Amino acid sequence: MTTATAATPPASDSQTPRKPVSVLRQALRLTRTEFTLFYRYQMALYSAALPLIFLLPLSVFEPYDVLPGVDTTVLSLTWFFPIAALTVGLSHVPNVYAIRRERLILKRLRVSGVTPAAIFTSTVLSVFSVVVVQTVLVAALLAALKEVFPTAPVLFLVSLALTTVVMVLLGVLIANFARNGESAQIISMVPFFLLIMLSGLFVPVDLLPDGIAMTIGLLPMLPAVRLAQSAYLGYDLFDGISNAEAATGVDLWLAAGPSLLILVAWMVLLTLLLRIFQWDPRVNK
Amino acid sequence: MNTTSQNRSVAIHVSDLHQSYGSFEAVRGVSFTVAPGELFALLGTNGAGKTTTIETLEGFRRPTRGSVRIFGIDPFGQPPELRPRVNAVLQHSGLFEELTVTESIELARDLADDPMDTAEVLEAVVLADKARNTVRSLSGGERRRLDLGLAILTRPDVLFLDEPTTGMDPEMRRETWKIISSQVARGAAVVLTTHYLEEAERLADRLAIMHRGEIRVSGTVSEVVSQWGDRISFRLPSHIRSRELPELPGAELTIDVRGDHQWAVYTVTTGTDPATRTHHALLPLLKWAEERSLDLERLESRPASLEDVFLAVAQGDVTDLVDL
Repeated sequence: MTTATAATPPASDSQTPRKPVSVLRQALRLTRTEFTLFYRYQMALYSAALPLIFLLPLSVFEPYDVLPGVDTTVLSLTWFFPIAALTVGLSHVPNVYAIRRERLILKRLRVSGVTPAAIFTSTVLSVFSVVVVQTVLVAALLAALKEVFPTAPVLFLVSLALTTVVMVLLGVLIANFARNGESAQIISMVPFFLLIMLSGLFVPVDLLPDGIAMTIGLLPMLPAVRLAQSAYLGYDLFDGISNAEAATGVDLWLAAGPSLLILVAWMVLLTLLLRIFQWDPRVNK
Repeated sequence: MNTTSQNRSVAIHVSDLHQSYGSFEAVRGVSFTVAPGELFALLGTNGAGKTTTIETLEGFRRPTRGSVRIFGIDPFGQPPELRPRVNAVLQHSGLFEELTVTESIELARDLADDPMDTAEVLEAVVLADKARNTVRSLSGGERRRLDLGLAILTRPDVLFLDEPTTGMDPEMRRETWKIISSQVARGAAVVLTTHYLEEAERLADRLAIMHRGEIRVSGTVSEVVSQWGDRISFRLPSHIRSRELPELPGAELTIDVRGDHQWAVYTVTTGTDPATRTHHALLPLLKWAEERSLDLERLESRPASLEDVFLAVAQGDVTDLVDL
């Protein structure tokens, strides 16, 4: 072992404690930059537009009523809201994080004193902003075509926010296992299609055996869809369409409790798992 | 050493640092300190353990064994007390390609407490004429300068520079040396890794050369070089065999083969006075040549260079650790 020691260190007046910039300020500033990057990064615009593709089939099928005042078009449009969070979260975030890690951008931020919390929060805020814009567009469509308005807007926004957080954190964790942007996109397709297939629109969860239905209900997407649809339409849809009953106010919040808890549990679990996030490029390993 | 006294005298304290990746030990018992206002250069071949050591200091890795402290604080996880005081230039530029130079600086400024002005940074890193260009359009050297600008704008007390002049032309490299020197002059403790030995010779107050995870040689540049010894060399006359060559005081003889010729190389490492030891070694050599009426072709005497020491370490010649 070799010891290399300074004999007489010079005096320095630079050792006064300095104040770290708050996580909130860093997160808001990074969010601003995310918007700048978003419109300069073509792939991000594609991710933002991608969920709108899911609306195209609606113009082909003849709608029919599934509940009083709710036809299949309305049900599909309300299904879109959490799907927007899923699509942006799992198509944009893993790609961006893998690329930024490989280019040492994330590490550069860390060595500049930016906290992981500020970095992740800025991603959540920017993705949530995109999801809100998409939501407003579809909500306007619902209002114009079907005169349907959100019944429980606060619950709806809470569900949308929770879904976005869960999807972004999932996207970040997927990036952890990808070597570059391309592999991140490929890897993210697996959970993306799994979650979209099990979101309640393509697979009739009500008709599946109880054990399987319960397992699907513990994944984040089905609770997210049911929360958004229930809050928007004013029905308790948590036990499926066939058992739906009109619900508002406290009754709706109480019915929404288990689904909210599932999303919160996912959020906590994924936040804890973020501790394993690798800031170093994986190509060097 | 208690934390208070360590804070006053030492910015960076590395003690018996070990870092392993599975069964591979990348860093093996490295120790050094860096004071405020001092530049410490960490040299070594690729894979010597320099980057792992710096990453540990930056707080990205917890030591497998031993300890690292910055102002007496464990840097692992970048604790809030250290965040505003430390910055770094990484091995490659970590910049948003879609932002302009000014936007990149303003982002870094907004993320820091009491940063330098944007114009001040642009001027310091000689990028004022590229202020509106996107990072994507910059050359490799310009990116490195921007990277350095982002690192110094927080006025860090500790600065890690991982090959900061890679990709720069010689003129810009010298400009960058001035920026680095100004950081040291204002009291920053700087750890520099570089493949340019001239850079280390110019900038380093002290340096260490790492090989296979260990510090093999360390000290000031003159200490390291003088420890390695001066060189006396000449082309060996064809009719002289190496065993006929004289023993010189304080010198070791080696025979090099360069092209079709053999060269006698004496390394003068010991002597009463490093300043005159070569003189004392040369005299008997010249006398020996005169007695045999030999002209020593291409006779040369020069002090060892940092490159000599580096190459010797890299080739594994320095097996005994030197502690200066």
